[in-house]
Amino acid sequence: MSIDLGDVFNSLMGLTPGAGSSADARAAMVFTSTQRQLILLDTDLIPATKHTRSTTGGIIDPAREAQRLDERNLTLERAMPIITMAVNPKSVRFTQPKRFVKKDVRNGSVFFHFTNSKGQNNDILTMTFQGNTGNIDLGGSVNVSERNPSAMQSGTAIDAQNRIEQDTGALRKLMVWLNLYSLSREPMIFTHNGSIVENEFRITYVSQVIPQPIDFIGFFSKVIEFEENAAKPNSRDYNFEFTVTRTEPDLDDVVSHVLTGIQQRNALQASETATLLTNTNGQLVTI
Amino acid sequence: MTTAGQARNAFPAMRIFVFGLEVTEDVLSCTVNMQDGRSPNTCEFVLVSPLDRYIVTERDIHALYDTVNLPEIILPTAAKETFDHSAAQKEIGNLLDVELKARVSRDIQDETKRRILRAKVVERTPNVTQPDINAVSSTTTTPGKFAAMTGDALTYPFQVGDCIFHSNDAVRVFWRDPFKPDDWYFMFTGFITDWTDTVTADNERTVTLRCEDPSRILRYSRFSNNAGQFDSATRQERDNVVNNQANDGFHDLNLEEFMHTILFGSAAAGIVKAKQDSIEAAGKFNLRRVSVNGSTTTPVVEKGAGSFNQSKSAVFRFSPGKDQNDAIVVANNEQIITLAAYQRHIGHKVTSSDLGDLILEGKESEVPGIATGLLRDASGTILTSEIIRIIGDLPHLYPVDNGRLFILTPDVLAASADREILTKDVGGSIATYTTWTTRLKLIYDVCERIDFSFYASPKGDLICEMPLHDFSPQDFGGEGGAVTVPTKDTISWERTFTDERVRTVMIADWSPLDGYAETGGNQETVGSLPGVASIPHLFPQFGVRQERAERRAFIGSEAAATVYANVVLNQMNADARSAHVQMLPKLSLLWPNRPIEFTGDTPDGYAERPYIATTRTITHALVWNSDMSMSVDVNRIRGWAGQVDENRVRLYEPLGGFGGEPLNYAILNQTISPPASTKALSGRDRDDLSRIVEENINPLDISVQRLLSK
Repeated sequence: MSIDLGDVFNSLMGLTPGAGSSADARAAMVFTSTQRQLILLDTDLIPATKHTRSTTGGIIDPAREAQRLDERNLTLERAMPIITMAVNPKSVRFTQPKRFVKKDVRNGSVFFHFTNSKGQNNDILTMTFQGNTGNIDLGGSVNVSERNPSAMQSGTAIDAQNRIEQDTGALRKLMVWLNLYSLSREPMIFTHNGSIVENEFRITYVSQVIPQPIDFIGFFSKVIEFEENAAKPNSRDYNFEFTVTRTEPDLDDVVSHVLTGIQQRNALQASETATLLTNTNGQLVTI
Repeated sequence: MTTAGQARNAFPAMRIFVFGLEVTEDVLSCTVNMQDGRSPNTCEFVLVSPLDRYIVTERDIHALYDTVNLPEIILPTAAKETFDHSAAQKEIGNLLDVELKARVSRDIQDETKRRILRAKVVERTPNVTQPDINAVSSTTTTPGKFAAMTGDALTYPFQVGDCIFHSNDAVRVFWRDPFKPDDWYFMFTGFITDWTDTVTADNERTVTLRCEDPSRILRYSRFSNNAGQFDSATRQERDNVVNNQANDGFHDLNLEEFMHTILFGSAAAGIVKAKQDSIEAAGKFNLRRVSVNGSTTTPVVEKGAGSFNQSKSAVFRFSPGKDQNDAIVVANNEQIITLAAYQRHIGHKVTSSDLGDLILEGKESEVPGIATGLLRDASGTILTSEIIRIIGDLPHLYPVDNGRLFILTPDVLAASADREILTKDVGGSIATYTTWTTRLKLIYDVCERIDFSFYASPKGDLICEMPLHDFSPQDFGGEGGAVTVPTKDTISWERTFTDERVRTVMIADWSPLDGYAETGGNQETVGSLPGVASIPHLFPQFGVRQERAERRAFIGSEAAATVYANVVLNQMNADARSAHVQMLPKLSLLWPNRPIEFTGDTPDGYAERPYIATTRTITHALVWNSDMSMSVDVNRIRGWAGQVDENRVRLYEPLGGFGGEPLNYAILNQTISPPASTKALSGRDRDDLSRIVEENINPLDISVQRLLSK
């Protein structure tokens, strides 16, 4: 999987990179759920791909969907099938306790480690998100549709440019946050085509320590918690927990892959350094 | 800070297979219970049932049987469950099977449920005739011949709310030794019996499955013993499963012959045939076994019970002094053997030999990859995980009811008494009037009479063995079952002495003729004395507590009556000293009727309550991510009163010392040789006592020195 999530976000937002600070994705994070994916598919815009997607259960290619949504001018429709963080949380905490139980005996203690098929006694991974919505005061923002050249035919180009520069991204941030709130409230099971389907929630995540995109699949441990605070009239603090039941690819494989990449890069750098330190006869030069 | 070895790590793991499907990932907890009482061993485990994975829902029934989508198949009334057996209806049945399988594959979303339903939904038992009582008209005064509905009955019927597993579905449970992760053990083999579907207010859905070992088959196999003498009208035509081969009772059969007869049928037992020529030839019927991974059909002896494996069964005669690896084959699978070799033979640790030992006869080639395709380690040994997978996945090739029968008897009962006094005279024979009973009850009755144990092993073999309470764990050569438990492996205990259970004299009647006892006569009628067993060593403490042994068999001689009196006295006194111990899980300890030594070792070198006792009930529990423990109920506690053998190893004695147990199998078989004095430290000869103390007691033991100085 090789997706430039920064580009994905920008295309989803209908922006080009650098068009506004509030539109930049500071860490790559995309949220979705099975239900939202199926609702998207049920629009039946791409019948040829419907069967493949419903059976594989994989995430829909965000870039492709963004393009499709743009075609329908659905970028900021009420229910976003894919939610990109407009204002990233200020912290994401990864917590994974160990599964063991201490049992005291007549002369000492025994630790029972409850291991998985790999022999690991790792418990379930929990991700805790904390953040602030950023400025969601709609008074200072403009509608995205007004940025659409076709919607601004009545005004002059200068007016349009001025209005874009005034855009705080509040509308987008609020809608994204409300979608995230809605996502955290979604049912765990729902009926689709007569069958009961388990609603899987999915976070596609990239960061400096996990540079390779990875899907955290699981469920919200609680509905997003937020506080209406007079001290912050234009923004809201929020937090939520996400319990990870599995990852795609396997988290161990990702870490291993990243480590391998780093080692290869180091080896390459060492090789280049060694080359620089040899003379024309291939002998090492003492510095 | 802890001393090295005080804090240890343990790594529990388990694998559970039902109907050939591994359900391990859904198991919340598992409890295994082993005992040698009068009921089969049990296992219980709880499965999470997300989206009703293990329960049939209305949606499933619609998916299977909704006629809207079956336009080509016109079903007769009630034909979804039963079919006429005409060719036309058979064809409909075949079409329906195809359609049902397709529906399961297409419409059942959960893979686990899909695999189970796909295997079960088309299984039928052909040509079942069901009398139709509705055919009786209300105006008819005398019912005529009932109209019969003949057809195929569903082997695995489903109704909304039922568990997808049925009674008699095969179950295999394996656990990993938490302290030796390389070692896996058979923990339970048997059948599903009960289930409970639980849904909580929080919509938490679990299914609890309870299982019984293969001996449960014998409980439902009825037996008419000695039928016909008084009520010949109630003969076997009233009961299809009644076997009349034993109309003359079990006269003249010893224990081995009795067990083989009752399990494999008289003709199949062979050993009986020479004695009872009139026995009918062994019939056979075909038994079909199904799992999610296939099916087999094999012939089974009609007059036997279940389909236990006779060809791999064996009789072991215990004889001391043989090399531990030595087993002398006598004939017909009879071997003279040591306890260590015996335990090794019947052991429940998973090994590659299980693949050959447990397979259905003649089906070896049907195991996928058995020749070359199995996963092996670098040395070429088949991986334990692979052995478990094969045996668990393929219950139609490794049936849970294909266990062997292993009998362990003493080679001799005493120098002057042939073992058959016990296994034949006392064990054999029964009432002269007709009794309707089950095979399992008969086995329990016979074994109880002679203090033998009968139970199914964790591997599914049937075990009938002599009392082993007089031996020590060392006699088993370190093999599983009989173990030593150090203090660091115990959690807590309760040890109880019950005065009411103590008897000191037992009298057993006998009669010169079978049936004579039923007329009120006994040995005294013919001027003879009853068999008597007494324990004078206990008289000073408990007095003469005399009991008359309940007559449960025909006993035809004073010698046999004396043996019987000793057996009953031993049984009676067994529960006088008992204990319940909570301890760390020792998976090798899953055998009732085994000596177990609690060393009670302490850092200062003085043991804290050391004793040897006999396991009666063993319970292992594993609650995932929460707890793993075991508890053991023991009786026949033998304490230490100061005696040691020539190697300075403690000699543990029964209640009242060695003299307190006249019938001691260990002394009888010379695995221990206590001094003539039964209480070394109570000897009256002070010189002798001083010598014993000097030889055996640590001279630095001030308390003993002080004791001696008095």
